[in-house]
Amino acid sequence: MSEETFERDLRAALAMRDPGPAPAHLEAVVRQRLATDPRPRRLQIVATPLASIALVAAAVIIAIVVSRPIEVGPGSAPGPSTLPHQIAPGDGVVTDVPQPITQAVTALIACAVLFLTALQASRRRTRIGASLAALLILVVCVTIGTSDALGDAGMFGVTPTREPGEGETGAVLSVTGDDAFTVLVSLRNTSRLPLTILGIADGGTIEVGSGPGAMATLPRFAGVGFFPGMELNLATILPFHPRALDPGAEVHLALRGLAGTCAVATRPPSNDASYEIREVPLVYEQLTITHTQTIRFVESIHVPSRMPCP
Amino acid sequence: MDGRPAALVVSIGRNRVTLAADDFADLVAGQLDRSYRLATVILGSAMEAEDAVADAAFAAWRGRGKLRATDRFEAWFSRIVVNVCRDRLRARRRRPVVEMPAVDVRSGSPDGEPDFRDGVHARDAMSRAFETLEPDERIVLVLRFWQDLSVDTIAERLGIPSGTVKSRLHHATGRLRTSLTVREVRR
Repeated sequence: MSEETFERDLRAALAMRDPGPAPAHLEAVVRQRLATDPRPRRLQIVATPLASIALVAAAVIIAIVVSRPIEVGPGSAPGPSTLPHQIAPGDGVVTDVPQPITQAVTALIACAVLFLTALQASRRRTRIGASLAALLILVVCVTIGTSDALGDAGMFGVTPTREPGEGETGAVLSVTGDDAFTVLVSLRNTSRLPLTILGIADGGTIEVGSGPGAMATLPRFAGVGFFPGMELNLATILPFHPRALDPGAEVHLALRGLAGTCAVATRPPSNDASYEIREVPLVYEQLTITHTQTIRFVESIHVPSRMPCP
Repeated sequence: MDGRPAALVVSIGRNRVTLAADDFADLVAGQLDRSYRLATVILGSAMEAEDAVADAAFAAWRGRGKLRATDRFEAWFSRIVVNVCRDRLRARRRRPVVEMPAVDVRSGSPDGEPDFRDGVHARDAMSRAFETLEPDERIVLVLRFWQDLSVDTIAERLGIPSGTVKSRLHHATGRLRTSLTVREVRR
């Protein structure tokens, strides 16, 4: 069949389907249909797929706003940059890690709306878009928090320390009583999303034994600040405030530790009389969801202690 | 008059048109013939076309806030009619209609089979082949070969790129040819 014949037949076939003028009753039907329209519905905005998606976006934004702020220790506000800064107990300590209930509910509602939109939308593009958006939210909800976003950036240091004695390994503190020590930890955002470091989780005061006379605190981390560079110089420490980290960005944390009341500066009589610190719980926020990640040190920190502790 | 086009004179606030229900119904009434014929050619059913036009009028009334100027009403309403027809065709696919075999009383070959050398039967075969097309393919063919709109006008009317219109036309005609060839071979 030639092109000309094909087009002629097609035009003729379409012309055959042309019914001519509209029947007289159609105008009356249309006018009646328009006249019976109820007043605009209050929720008519959600009747269209795009409006539904806009509603979901608005709900997510509200959830983000509602879920802030998170309680952080007294040093969380940006402080003066006067040097040197002394990290006080409680600086950057997150006392209450919120559960992402609002976000979970919002995500569920968003998924439900998007799936309904995908089912009801007449346009294929909208159906595909809504389905992908719902799947994306599900994937984010399932995967977020299951893998740690902070990785070691290579720098680690402790002060004050002494040379390890025979049989001692790692960094050995040289402090007495409940003196302070400082740990430098460099961390990198190894995830594909930005995050905000909120501080260290509140471990509370650890007590040993029970009953009168048996109370003693163990080594613990009591505050956090920043090192501006990778040099372990206590005079350069900056006060802590929640810090945003782009993917791949690094931060140098100054962890203030307290050695516990049983700590001794010299080698204790028994090699067993030593506490070991291997990790610190760090709190960060990503996509409005707060996580606590246990940061394991490159090498363990040993706190020689007197046993029995007075 | 302040020299502006009449369509803009009635526009207020962000160039959107405010129309009373009666005025709107009058505008729709002016498009009934054209819309009804368009819907029938696309859908292939006059009865369904009536419903489609009524649905389109209702949808247009609900979405009247998107109408920028009354002189664009024809194109705007035509687009709504096409969209309603597309939805109906898709819904039809989800609820398959069992087609009753047609009884052909016109002249044909001695064994009762249609003779494709006859122009009437050729058009009938074309019409049957047209029914097998996807909704979007049907629509572009109708706009191009029945309404004689240019590719650019169709693109503007449907809100899609001109390249997409050309692609759909190409695929639609290709499928029509294939369908017609298969029918001829089966004979």
